[in-house]
This record gives sequence, structure tokens and C-alpha cells, in this order.
Amino acid sequence: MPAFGSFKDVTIDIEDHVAVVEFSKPSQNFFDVELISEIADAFEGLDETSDCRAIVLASPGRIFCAGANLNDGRDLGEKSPGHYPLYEQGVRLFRTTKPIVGAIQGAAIGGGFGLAMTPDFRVACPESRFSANFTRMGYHPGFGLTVTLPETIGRKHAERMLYNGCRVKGEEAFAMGLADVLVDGPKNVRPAAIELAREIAQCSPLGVVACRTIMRDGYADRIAAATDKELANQNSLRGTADFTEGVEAMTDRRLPHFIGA
Amino acid sequence: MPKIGEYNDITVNLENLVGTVEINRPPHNFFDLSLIQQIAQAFESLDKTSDCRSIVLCAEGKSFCAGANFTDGRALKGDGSEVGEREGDDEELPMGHLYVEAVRLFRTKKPIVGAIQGAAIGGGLGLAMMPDFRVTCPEARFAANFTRLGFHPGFGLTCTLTEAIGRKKAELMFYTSRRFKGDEAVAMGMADVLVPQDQVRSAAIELATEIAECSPLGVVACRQIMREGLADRVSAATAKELAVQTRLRDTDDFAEGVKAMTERRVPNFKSA
Amino acid sequence: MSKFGSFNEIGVEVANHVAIVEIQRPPHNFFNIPLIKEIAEAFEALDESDECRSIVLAAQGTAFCAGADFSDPNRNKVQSDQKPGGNPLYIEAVRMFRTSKPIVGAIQGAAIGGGLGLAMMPDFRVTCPEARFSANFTRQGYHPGFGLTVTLPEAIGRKNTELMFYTGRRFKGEEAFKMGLAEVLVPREQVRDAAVALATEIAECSPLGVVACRKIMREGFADRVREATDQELIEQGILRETVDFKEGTKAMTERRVASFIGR
Repeated sequence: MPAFGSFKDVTIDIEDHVAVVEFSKPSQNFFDVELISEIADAFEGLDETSDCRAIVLASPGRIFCAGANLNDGRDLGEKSPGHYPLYEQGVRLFRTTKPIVGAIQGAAIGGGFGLAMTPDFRVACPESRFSANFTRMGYHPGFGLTVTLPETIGRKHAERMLYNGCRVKGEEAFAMGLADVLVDGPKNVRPAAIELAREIAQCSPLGVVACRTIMRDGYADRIAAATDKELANQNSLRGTADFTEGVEAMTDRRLPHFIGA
Repeated sequence: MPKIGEYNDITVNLENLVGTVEINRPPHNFFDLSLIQQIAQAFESLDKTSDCRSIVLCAEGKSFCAGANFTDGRALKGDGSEVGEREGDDEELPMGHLYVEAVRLFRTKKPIVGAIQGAAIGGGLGLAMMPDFRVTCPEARFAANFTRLGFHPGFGLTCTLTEAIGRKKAELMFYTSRRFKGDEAVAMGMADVLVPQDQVRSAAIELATEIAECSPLGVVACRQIMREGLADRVSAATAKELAVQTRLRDTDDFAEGVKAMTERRVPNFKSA
Repeated sequence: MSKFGSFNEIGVEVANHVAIVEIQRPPHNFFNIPLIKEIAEAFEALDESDECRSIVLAAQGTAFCAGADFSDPNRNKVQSDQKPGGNPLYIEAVRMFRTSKPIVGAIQGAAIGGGLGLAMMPDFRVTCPEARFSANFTRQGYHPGFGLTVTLPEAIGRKNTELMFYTGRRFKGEEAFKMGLAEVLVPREQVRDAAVALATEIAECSPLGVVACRKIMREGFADRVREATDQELIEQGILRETVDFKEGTKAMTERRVASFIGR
């Protein structure tokens, strides 16, 4: 794929007008700024490729994406006033033009859940897990989840997931519209995602792209505005004792003891 | 359970970071301006204490809230005629003040779980749709039966019901005045959790506790984003609803609607 | 049942405060400007009649409305003054969204393409397992129209709408019901009666209350539909000039998958 340059953690494979974009950071597929940036580069490159009419976003292994690599503090901090590399790269994923199907074969946790919400549609299996566990950690939802989640599953379900950080398994996800297709096991997820992408690819590319632009009108901007607010909240919470306690409790696998400060 | 504050028609308790606000006007818990003010007061006090992270709104008796108590200043007799004074032909219903107070309920900060153990009818449905989540049981009844009465939805329902179950289903409820059982309500998204009737309150407390285990600052900040503009939308909705209610209040169809309901028969409307 | 008005393409009867507006171009009820115009006129006349409190929109024959009548040359015309919304078809269509009484659609058969647009205009839909719902525009190299980019998401949410638009898939009655495309599912022979039953349930509630409430609930709806048709029309205009559109139309007539090239 000469048009895309070379990627470190992302591969692209195009067949029958469907491009499979696979990101891989074994073993749990934590992401950092560079990974998000590479996925965005891939999507933007595919926008210019007439061979591609629909995209499948996938990852290898048991876990779709376990979240942000928190050990690398660089990604979460402000580079310069108002400049947050991680979310700037993240919003790029919402600005490209071709439909994307996510193959969510396992856990999508925290920021990984945010990444799972970038595709238009999601294929899941009973082993899939969606978890917005931010408030369990003394933190606040990010990656545009305060927009992508309610706009996909309605505000009621979104609020429930965000306020009590519950884990939603594949079948429940399908029932609430978080996943659009439910298949029998992790092995069947990617083929089913490709099948849906192929079905889309049989329709006229110009019509689909024009239509998607109308349907998603303002979506990326709403998400960009949301990430600003989410970041502001995250920044103020990162300095709290509750956040330190939340991260510690998660590492120690115990219930956190919050004090509201 | 430690009691908080002194109220006439509600009881407020706080335990294990969950505040319970119980309406005490059994069996049917009809609401009026005073009740709404007391609930708003309770929520605002609970907002201020870090000992409370989430709230359960519940009710004593058979119904959750079977509707409005018309007897404050303006009562309706069975035949549709009025008692009590009217300050002028253009006087806004007591509802006007009530809706202003009702909007206070949408401006507080902590997540609220409604324990809907029985009927939530008319304005009572409006009150039931105010919490973030609802726990209910098969025996509960949900109805927005305003148009059956010759009246019009209120309490911000044209906003809150739509935002909860989608416009199609909200329209269906408004135009048919149909009653839905608790299990149907959950299937439609009008309520979130279905349990046996004797477990409604404990299940509501359980959900509120689950929320209370999460970081209070994170939850409150997130809820603020999620509910952004809601109170203003509700306020705008009640303004429109009130205007229509004021107009319809004077129609023969309203008198007929109330009469028919009391006499348990199909109303004979005339579009006037 | 009393007959109401005189029309060529439709029949209108009123009984027990429920009006039945029946499309009479069987078996497929393809729509054209005269048909849409007559439906709009009927709705507007019924708005003025106290005899009518709710409306059932139904169709004779196998399909509800299987799409646009391709032989109508005015279908795609844009007025020469080029103001958006100048398409004669969509001007008439938007009239239907501006009337005041609730409408129940009796979708007893296929609602395809623009026919789906017509099916999504009523407040509610009664359907049956045999019905088929399809927004198959992109299969044809075309773009959704008839306000579907507004009416569909407002009924079934954006996710399901995108699925319908991007795949052009045909959904059977049961699936449609599950998605929220229809509110009631009954056996085919009961569709009309069930639609009338729902319209009657509405007609038993106070007409002033229902109309006022519907006005609040649908506030801005007709304008959103109007804006949507403006935008859809522009996209359709662009796509109609493409090679893919010719190929798409051809493929549809020849009942095969189209071979698009992206131009």
C-alpha cells in the first residue's frame, strides 16, 4: 500500500472494495497517541483510494482495546495551552468519509470503548465487553463518549454506563443497540464485519458517501466540542485524591474508597 | 435510617451515601405546588452534603403519583364545574407556578433513581420521568392520559418522555392516552429495571448504591455534560404546554372529558 | 362511510371520526406528482372538517408504494429559477407534513425507495410480515430522498437509518417492527382494520388536545423535512449525471448487482 507510507502498528488489507485496518499492540492493545494517529492516517489515506468503499476496524487477540496506556503520562497531558494530542488525533477518526464497521471481538475498556465507538457499526459476540469504567477510577469519560454513546444507544443507557461504569457483555450490547450484529464467537466477528462492509460496498460509493455526509452532519464537531469538556473535567479530576485512590484500587483489584476530593 | 430535615409531605433519609426522598400522601400521592416545592428543597439540601452521592425518589402507598391534586385554589367537582376563586379570565393555572418549581427538580446535581412501585398517571408520569433512571414492577401503570380528559400533556413530558422513549412512542402515548404496565414500560424504555413489586424500593437503592460507589466528582461532572440544557428544555416545554393547557381549560371538551372520566364512560367530544 | 371530495388517484371516506385515504393505483401504487398532490389536498380538506379527527393512509393492491413512477418526466425537475425546494414533487410532499391531524399508515405491502418516504410520513405505521421496507437508493447509484434523511432517523434512530441507507437492504415486516419502522404488527388481512382501530383509539381522545399536542411534538418537523429535501435534491442532481447512476438503473432493471466505478 504505497499510498499510505509505512505504519508501525497498523496494517491495511484491501479486497473486494473492503479495507481491513488492523491495529495491533500485543497483548492487550492499549493505545497511545501514535497508534491513534496511525489509524487516522490509514482512514484518511483510504478516503483517497477508489479501491476502498468500506472499512473494517479490527485488532488481533482476545482484547479489542484495553484503553489508554496510562503509564505513558505524555499522552494525557497538555502539550501547550489547549493542545491535547490524544484527542486531536481521536477526532480525526470521525472526520473521514467512508463507512466503518468495527469488529469488536473482546473487551473495549475506557478509551478503548471510545475507540470502538468510532466506526458506524459494530459486530460483537457474547465474549465482547464494553466498559466505560472511568468513574470507577475517580476519572471522567473521554474520547467523545459523552456524544458517541448517547447518539448510538440513547441517553438513558449511556448515562447508566457512564455513571456506574458497568460492563456490558455482547448480548446485552446487541439488545441495546451498542452492537448492530451479534455472532456466535470471537472467531466469527471479523468475517461478519467484512460481510457487512461488503454489503455496503455493493452500493454506489458516491451515493453512500454523500448520504453518510448528510447523516453525520455536525457529528465530528459535536465530538470535538465534547472532548474539550471531557478534557477539562479530566484535567481537574487528575489532581484529586480520588483519582490517585481510584487508579490504586484498580491496580490492587479492590473497591475504591472515595472521599469526594 | 437517619432522617434529614422536617417536611410535611415527604420524608428524607440518608444512609450509605444514598439519600431517599419518600412522598407521604398515600394511597395515591397526588401532587400539588407544595409537594413539588418540598421535593425540590430536599434535593437541593442533599446536593450540598458530601454524605449523599445519589438519591432514590419513592412513594408510600399504592400509587407512585396518580396525578395532580386540583384542590389548591381551584377544584373540579365531578360534573366539571368549579369551586374556589378565579382571579380573572386570563389567570394562569396554579400549574404555572407549579411548573416553575418543577424545573428546580431538573437543576440539581446528583443522579436520581425513581422507585415506581405503582401508578404514574398524567402529571404523576411527569414526576416519574424526572429521575435519571426508573425501577418498576409489572403492577405499575404508566399513562399520559391528558387528551382523554380533554386536556394536554404537561410537567415537561413533551420533552422528557420524548427524550426517554423517542418521539414515536411518546406521540403514541399522548394521542391514545393508553395505559402501559410496568413490564411494557421497561420494554419501551420508559423504565430501566423490572423487579417484583415488593423489591422495587430495594432495587432502586441498589442501583443508587452502585452509582454511589463511583467517584462522586466524576459522576457529577459527567452528569452535568449528559444533562446539559435539559432543565432549560424542560422549562421551554412547560411554557408551551402551559399555554395550551390554559386555553383548553376553558373548553367544553375539557369539562366533558373530566365528566366522562368520573362517570367511567367514553367522552363525547365536540372539538370546542 | 361517507365519501369525501372527488379525486382521481385516491379515494377518501370518513366514518366514526376516522378518515381513510386510499391510494388507488394498484398493484404497485408507484407515486407521481398528481398522486402526492391529491393526498396533500385530501389531508388539507380533512383538516378543516370536524367530522375527521384522525386519518388512515392506505393503499389498494399488493404494494403500499413500490417507488417512483419513472415515466413521470416532472419527477426530477428543478425549477429554472433554481431556488432549492423548487422540485414540484417535493413541494407537494412537504404539504403532507404540514397538516394537523394524526395519520396512521396501513403498510400492507412493499414500501420501497420514495415509497418508503411516503410510508414514513404518517405518525404511526401498522404493518404485516409480508411487507417490505427498503431505502434502496444507493443500490441504484442514487441518494435517499422524500425527506427520508430526517423522517427515518427520527423514527428509528441514526444507526438503523445508516444501515438501511448504506446497504440498501430489504427489511421484512417483522424486522421493520423490531427496528421501530412500524408500531404495530398484525397478519396481512388485518392491517387496514388494525390501522383503523388505532386511528379510532386516537379519535376517542379530545381532538383539541391531540392537535395541540401534535403541534408541539412535531414542531419544526415539516421545516426539517423541507430542508432535508432541499439537500437531498442537490445530491440527487449531482448523482443523476454519473455513470454509476446509469449503471445502477440498468442493473436494477436487469435484476443484478451493479458494477460501480465511483464516477
